[in-house]
Amino acid sequence: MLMLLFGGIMVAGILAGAGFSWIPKESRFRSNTQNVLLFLLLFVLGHQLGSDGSVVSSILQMGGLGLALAAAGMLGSFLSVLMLRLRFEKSGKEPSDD
Amino acid sequence: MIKGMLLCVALGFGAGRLGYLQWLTALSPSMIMVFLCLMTFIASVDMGKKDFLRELRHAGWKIIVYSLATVAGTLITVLAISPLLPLTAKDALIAASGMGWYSLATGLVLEYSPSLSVVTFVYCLLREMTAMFLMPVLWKKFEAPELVSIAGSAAMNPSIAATAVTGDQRLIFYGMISGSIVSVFVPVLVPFMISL
Repeated sequence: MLMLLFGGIMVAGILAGAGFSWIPKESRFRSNTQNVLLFLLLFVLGHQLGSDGSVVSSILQMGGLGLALAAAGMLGSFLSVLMLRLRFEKSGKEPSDD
Repeated sequence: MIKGMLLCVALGFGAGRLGYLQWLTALSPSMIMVFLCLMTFIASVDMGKKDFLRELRHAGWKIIVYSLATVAGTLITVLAISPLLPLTAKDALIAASGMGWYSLATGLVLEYSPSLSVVTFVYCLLREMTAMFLMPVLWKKFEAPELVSIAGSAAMNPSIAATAVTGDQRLIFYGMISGSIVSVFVPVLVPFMISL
């Protein structure tokens, strides 16, 4: 359900942005609204987490896990794109080598 | 910006810990959902306005493949290391599916598990911040596609910072396109992983 909701919002937003010329390309209102929403969201998220005793007791461990996942995720994406690019370059050079 | 964000989380956390603003506890799930919907919509309108679809056609199929490899590489590596961590493979994949979009991913994960939302937030924030430092450092030895992939969906800001340092405009181009493509996956991937 959430997948459909957010997927739908994303597609609707991209199409609205691309299709409606009356929406300005650069908008201070849009960017300010985005910032205000972000700060409010982070405050509410922080409040929700702070009121949860189990989160408070395990916050350092959770931070460590986030660090481990970030390192793995960055390494994985970096290596997979690097290998792919090198493969593309190699296959692009092959015809001229013949 | 990052300081302001961390301050907001810390203030909210402190208020929750000390028992202030109790009324927020009951309202917060609905508030978070409304904020996320609005933010996703505004971010998508920006994508549409930046001629995302036309840029995508210009950039060609390779950049789409690189973006898919960014998503796949992240998920495969996280799945591979998950037995070493005190997390189930599912939870590791849920957090990793955030790809760097901290506001959306953290909010989506919160209802599933508040503890995992902390992991997701730290994961996403570190991905963006580390990319900001690593991209200029690795720039001489590597090319734009793999450098931009480090940041995942948050590639735009680190790319701008790296371009300011290196002067390589390709980083902004790759950062904008690849970051947008990876971002499209986040609202779909996180709920999908939760539903598994």
